[in-house]
Amino acid sequence: MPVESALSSDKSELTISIAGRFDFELVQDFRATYAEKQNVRYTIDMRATEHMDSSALGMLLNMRKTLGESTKISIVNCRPQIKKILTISRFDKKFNIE
Amino acid sequence: MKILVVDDTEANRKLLSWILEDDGHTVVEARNGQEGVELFQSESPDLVLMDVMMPVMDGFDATKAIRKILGDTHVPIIFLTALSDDSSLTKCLSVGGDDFLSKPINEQVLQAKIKAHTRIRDLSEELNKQKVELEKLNALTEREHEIAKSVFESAMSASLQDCANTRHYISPATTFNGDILLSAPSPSGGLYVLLADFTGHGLPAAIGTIPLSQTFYDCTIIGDSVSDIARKLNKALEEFLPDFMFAAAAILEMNIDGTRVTFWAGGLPDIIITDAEGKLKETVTSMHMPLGVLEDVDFEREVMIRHPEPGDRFYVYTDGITESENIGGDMFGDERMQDMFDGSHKDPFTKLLYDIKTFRGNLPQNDDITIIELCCTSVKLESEDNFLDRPKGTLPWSINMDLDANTLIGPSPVAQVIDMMGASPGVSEHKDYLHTIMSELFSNALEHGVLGLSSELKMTEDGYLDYYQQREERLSALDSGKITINVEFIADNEYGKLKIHFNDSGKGFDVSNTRTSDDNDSFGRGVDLIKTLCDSIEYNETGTEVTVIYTLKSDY
Repeated sequence: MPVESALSSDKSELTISIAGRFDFELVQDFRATYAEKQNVRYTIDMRATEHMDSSALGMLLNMRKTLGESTKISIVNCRPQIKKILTISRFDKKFNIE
Repeated sequence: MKILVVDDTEANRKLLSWILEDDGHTVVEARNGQEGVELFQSESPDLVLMDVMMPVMDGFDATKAIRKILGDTHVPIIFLTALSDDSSLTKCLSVGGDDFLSKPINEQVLQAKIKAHTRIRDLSEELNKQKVELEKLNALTEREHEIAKSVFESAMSASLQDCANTRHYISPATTFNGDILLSAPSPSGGLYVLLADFTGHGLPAAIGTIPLSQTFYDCTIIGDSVSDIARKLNKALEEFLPDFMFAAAAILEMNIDGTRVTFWAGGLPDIIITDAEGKLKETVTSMHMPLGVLEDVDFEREVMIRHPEPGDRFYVYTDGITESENIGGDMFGDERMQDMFDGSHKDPFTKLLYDIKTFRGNLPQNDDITIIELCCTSVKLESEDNFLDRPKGTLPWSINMDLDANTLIGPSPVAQVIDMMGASPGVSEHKDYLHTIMSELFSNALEHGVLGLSSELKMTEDGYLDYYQQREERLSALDSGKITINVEFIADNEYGKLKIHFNDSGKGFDVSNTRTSDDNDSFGRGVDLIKTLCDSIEYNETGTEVTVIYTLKSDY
């Protein structure tokens, strides 16, 4: 599965992992991971994300809008090229990018 | 049996020969000590009967000479003597005789002694044979251990040396270590650490380290998550090792900034987390069973996540530390361990190692001891310079791809175009950015050009979904339309440039009215990305054609 989500053992953190290409093909699967709002911090693990395009950026922003500004959302383990795309798009203002 | 009789009196030799041959032995006769030594060498008898007083060389000297020839092998020498004083008899034995017989010879005693000494000789021969075998075996084992040791060392050698973030101590109880400590960089610049303690120690325990280390490196290269690594290691061990062998283990991953540690622990002593001053913040008990116990379907892959402050430290160690015993049979224990971290020691790591040694005193170490300290600061690894020998493309080329409605319905052509471009020297390092650029250009040409979709739809989250739904519907119903992709490589003195051109059959758009998106817009970001990644982007007047220039710089 290109999109997977798992709660940490103390149930305080939801990790969403995205494998391969992060683009519009994942729009439904990605939305499903946060559709049911939970009182947790969210972590998007991009270790296995090879490429992303502007549609993925849009999906991330939609997630931010749905969960609200106060929810902690981190984007972690980005490869350099992915990180650059996030930085170009000034996503560090909206997400905690590690 | 061949018996050498050494006696200067012919009558004695004949009498002995007669008795011995009657019992089925072969007899060789020598008339004095010197002849006895010569015949001993040429005939290799199994037993020697030696007179004492003889001309030329007496029995004592002959015996000494024979013993010298024999070295480690044993051939019984029995003295035949008329002497009966203690000192003469003692001398018989001290020069190398095994026994003596008083003259005149009693037939029964002679036969009994020959029998007894044959038995001793056989035993000694057997012993010698076993000794040789044992020596061979020992040499073989040593050799095998050498080979095994070098295999283990190479299996572990891929591990990182200590970097600014880690310090470790490893002390195996025997030549082979049943503990294993590996670290590796992660593709995103972080650090992985694996500490495992196999059941038992010595060679059998060390065997498990091979599949474990191989699997670990396979995982770290592709950047697996801690949870995936734990599961793969468990599977490898479960399949590879006998049921009674398993490994208590911890797998940790720290991100590049040192602000996040994800870990899985099974069967290890409590992990200790301290602040920068060495004061205990938390102990974390292993929540899972050791690796290699549960079958894959039952495996528990939940991880723990901590968000440490800068300078916080994680201490992960094997039970060789807490189970170190002192001379009174007391164990070092968790309590003494945790007392190290009351904040009064500047360097608890060094203090701990010292205390363990002092605690144990002169007692031998009874188990493998391994500990690692992980310091939560930015990961600093020596990075190799990948750009030094990058190939340069010198030949110009171009790719042209005409896509009609039939082919546009199918999968995106971007990956294939990128692969074709990547075959040219100096391009493959840029594949990731080129992929982004080409994806954006293709999406725009297809969605806004050929399919005529409007970005306005993407204003709301539902609209966003709607947009992609419409994209699918319009695409599957497509019966006309065309996109042409042209990529040209322009060689120069540096790494060259790529000129990427898209032409679509759509209506185009008002080129003078492009807007930049603000931070909250979930659309319109593609063009910004292209602008930042490329040198230039240009549209034709009608907005149906776009050309971008991308320079293949050495530093990207």
